[in-house]
Amino acid sequence: MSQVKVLLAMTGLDPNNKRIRLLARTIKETSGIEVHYSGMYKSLEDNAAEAVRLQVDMVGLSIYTGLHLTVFPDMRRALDAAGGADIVLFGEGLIPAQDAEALVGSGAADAIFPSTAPIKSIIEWILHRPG
Amino acid sequence: MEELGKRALTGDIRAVSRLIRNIEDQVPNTHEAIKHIFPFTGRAHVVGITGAPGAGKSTLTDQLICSIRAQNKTVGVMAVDPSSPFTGGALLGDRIRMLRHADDPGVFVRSLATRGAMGGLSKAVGDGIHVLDVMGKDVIIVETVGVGQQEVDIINHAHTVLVVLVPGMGDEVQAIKAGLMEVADIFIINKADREGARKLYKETLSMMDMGKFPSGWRPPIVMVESNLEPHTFAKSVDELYEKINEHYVFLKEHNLLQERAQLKVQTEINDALRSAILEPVLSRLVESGEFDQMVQKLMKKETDPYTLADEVAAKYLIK
Repeated sequence: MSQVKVLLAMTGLDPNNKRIRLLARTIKETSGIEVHYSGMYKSLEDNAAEAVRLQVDMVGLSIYTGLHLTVFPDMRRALDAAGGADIVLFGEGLIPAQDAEALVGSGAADAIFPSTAPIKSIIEWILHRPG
Repeated sequence: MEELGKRALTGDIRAVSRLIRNIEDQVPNTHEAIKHIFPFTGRAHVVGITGAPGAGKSTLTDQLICSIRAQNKTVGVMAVDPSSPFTGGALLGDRIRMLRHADDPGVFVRSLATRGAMGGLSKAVGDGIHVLDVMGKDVIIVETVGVGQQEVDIINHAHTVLVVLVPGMGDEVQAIKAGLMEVADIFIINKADREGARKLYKETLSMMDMGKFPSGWRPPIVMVESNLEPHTFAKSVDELYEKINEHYVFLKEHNLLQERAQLKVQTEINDALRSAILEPVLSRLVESGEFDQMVQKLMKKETDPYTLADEVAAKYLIK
């Protein structure tokens, strides 16, 4: 019985953890997904190592600092370097639509949801994950 | 799969991680890898930590890692969190308290969800211990989910069981009900700077006076004060680690380690028989629709569960 496993992560000095905690709880309580939350102020490398240790299917990065254009490519590289090239990366946060499009277009992320996206739609996307 | 077992033996982090995930998911053929590593198991000292939710198990584990590393020993940790009984989903965050060891190659921490298993552990813990053992970890800490009552499976897997109590939770009575008193090798009174700690100490002590200790080991009570005073906290946990070592030495000197190991082996063969014998029969009954038919028959009171079970046994068991 394979269960979808996701690591929800934050990085840098981003203090906005309300949404990611709501996301984690809602996912747990409404779907059969196993969510791991690694907490605030963690480096990308720590999160990548944790993702590989847990052998998660996906990493969800929540970011509200406006640094998404550099953080997502860096996260992707950190995952690849840690041996997690097969791990799907999605994002969530205060991210303008054109930035989200550019990040997905360049392959830095597999999907990016605005902070206003219904959590239900994120869960749906996780369950019908690519790859 | 055997290849994965071989790589796990060399301590390859990715192989170990993949193997534990496969064990969790019950991926077919994972048993092949376990078969390969089983002969090399039994080297590590397995320490279990159990206690009520919020008792401070993760925080203690985190500090215990420091005490163990200070003696140049390597540590593997499995931290178990509950899965939702309704959705099967789970939210795991124990690691938030332990990420400071993320850069240390001598430490491997892994969170697991219970996935419907009762008893305070995940089904994957038994084999998970083997994997961490063969990857060369000297000490393996298993942190159970916050126990309520009757969740003491840890005794079947650990050599040394720590029971964490905190003042002000009516713990002493709860702990007796949970059967925690019988499984404890060491009691920890955590947050011992709180009001009621001395009372809890006294009560635990007097309760132990009523107990019998056939092995000759009387569980010590270790007081650990709040981690808001990092220095005294670290010192208390160092003392705790000394007690843990004393217990291990005691087990060895009195040939009791074998007894603990036997408990684990018994649990394992029980589980293995169940998955080799009962589960295939059950899944065949479900697939063929026989299971539903049996349920319907029972609903109409045409027969009873024991007659049906006898019929199934007669069909599948070769006597």
